[in-house]
Amino acid sequence: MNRLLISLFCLFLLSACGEPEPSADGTDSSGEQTSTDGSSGTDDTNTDTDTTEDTDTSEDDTQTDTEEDSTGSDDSDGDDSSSEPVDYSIDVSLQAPTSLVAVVADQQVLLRWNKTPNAVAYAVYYSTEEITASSELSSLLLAVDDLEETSYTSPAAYLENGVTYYAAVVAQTSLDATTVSSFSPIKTFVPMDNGIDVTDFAQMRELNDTGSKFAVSSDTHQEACEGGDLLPEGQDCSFGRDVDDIASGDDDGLAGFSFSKVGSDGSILTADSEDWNCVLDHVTGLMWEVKDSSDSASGSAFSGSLHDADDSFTWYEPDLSGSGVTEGEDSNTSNPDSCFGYDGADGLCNTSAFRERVNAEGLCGFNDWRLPTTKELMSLVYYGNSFARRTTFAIDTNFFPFTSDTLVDSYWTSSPFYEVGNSSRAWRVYLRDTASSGQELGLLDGLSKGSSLGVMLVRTDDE
Amino acid sequence: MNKKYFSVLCCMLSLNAWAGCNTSTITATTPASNFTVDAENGVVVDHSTGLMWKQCVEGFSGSDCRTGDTLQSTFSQVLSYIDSLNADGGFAGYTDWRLPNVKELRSIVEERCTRPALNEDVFPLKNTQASDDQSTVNSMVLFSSTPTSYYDSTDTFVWVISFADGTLDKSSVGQYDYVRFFRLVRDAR
Repeated sequence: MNRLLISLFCLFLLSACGEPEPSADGTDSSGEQTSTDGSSGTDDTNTDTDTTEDTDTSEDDTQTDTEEDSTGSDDSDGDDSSSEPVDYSIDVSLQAPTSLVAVVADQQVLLRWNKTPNAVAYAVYYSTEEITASSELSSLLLAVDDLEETSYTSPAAYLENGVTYYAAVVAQTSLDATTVSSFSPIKTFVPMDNGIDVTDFAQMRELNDTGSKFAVSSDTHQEACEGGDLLPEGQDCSFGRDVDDIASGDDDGLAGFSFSKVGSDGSILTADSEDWNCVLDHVTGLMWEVKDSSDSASGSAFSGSLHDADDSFTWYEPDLSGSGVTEGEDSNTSNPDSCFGYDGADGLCNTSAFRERVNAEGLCGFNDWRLPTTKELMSLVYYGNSFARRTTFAIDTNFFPFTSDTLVDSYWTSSPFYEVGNSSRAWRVYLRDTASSGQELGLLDGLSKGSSLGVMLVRTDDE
Repeated sequence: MNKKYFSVLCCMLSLNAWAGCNTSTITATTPASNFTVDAENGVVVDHSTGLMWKQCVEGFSGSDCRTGDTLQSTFSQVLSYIDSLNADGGFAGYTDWRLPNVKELRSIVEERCTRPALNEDVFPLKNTQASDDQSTVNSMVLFSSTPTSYYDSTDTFVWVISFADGTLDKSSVGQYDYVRFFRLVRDAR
């Protein structure tokens, strides 16, 4: 639909979004477009598809001087919107899409990536030759551009089974600009007849990786993902975003993490900003509350702000209670005054009261803050640290600047801990540990809801 | 239908009073709708993560995972086992099986169930043949591929997850070299 409109738009504005070489292209494309407008059947590979996007465009990739070769039927069919032969060039200052994933099926692929700040559209490139971070765009095939969604499903019978393809996505910050971002992580895939229906995977999201980059052996921790007596090539450090050349860059978070700082008004800030209130995780699509600095003191007399890092709360969630799940405790019986805003009456230090205060405040411009689930909070855990390396946090402190004197070690999730005949506990995650020599870093377990723990609120930014 | 038999079975086993599911209040973390189950090939694919899992924990096989016996191994044995499996033709046509990292392994914990904390419509865990008793199977502890943090560099542990309830724990791969259960995963994305 969108692509159809864009194609038609281009038909009328050849000079605007077309290739700026009037002689060849002008005659070429106008001739082709009129002909294909009338007869969509000219493209032999289109016969089994019913999408209008496919049939309204021509096999006019002959315009695109660089693409005439290769798997002919492939790119002719796929060049949906590339009736505009734009020669894009890369502008490395634009933020690239993160987390490109692919699900293959019979002669088909689904590619999915994450919403990229400031992008209005995306272009998908592919090749049967290996793509690297330094590959030239002109050496690749353009599957689609001006695509506003964050996923692309190739037409049916578009690709060849058993062939290795490489794909990368770039972000476009406007529809008429000819500069695009650098590559997303490069995805390699091999289509095959595997019985998979790619439409099942429309909501797929890569899990955050762990950040574990070192192998363990039976007697020591290695200094790299190699050596020792326990097959490093089978351990965590050999897999995932941490070992992807592009995804593992540290500018946007350690190892495979990809974060942006977010300002009080919700704007995306640069990584070197020193004043930010939230963090957007581009892999999970979640936005997180960032705590203020700590001073080893909490309570209404000491806490400097609603987001004081020392503040703690009991688990109290009346909305989540029901059969077999209790609502928790609205206040800590022995230490009720453990947070900013405590007044002994309406202002209590529990999870739901805190959440309401933050939503009333409109942190980073949003009012849909909530407690994270276990899976969500665990997604933030950085398992690459170790106490031996003098680190006591299981989180990237460049983006979540906890200080070593904070009173809080572990954080509540919204998830009830299920036990037969006992609903007194909820799940919590250790993001810091000094008490037990660092060995609890990243631990998940159940704790009594009346205990006071930290809370890092979350919201879903990208469905 | 499966569910019905399952609940009946569950109640019978819940003479083992610690097992069960709270399906009324606690949100399912691994609903069957998230998975494509290919019982013929013994694999399931999680649509939400793009991970393909072996349906049975290692040691068991068959569409209901009732064939075979419990298999617990040291971390070293597990890594060698997977290496050999991939070298000898793999499983279900794939040769890139691996041990899941701790986040991946935790993603198949069903938080509304206990002993085991699994959706048994997706990951059957029956025990008609095994030499271990049912409570051992229902509370099995599985290896992840992720080392834990440590105080001294000679403290060598990896993360394990108890499928009694989904809790994380650490397990020695050095001095004590415990044996654990394990389940294989590969990227389907």
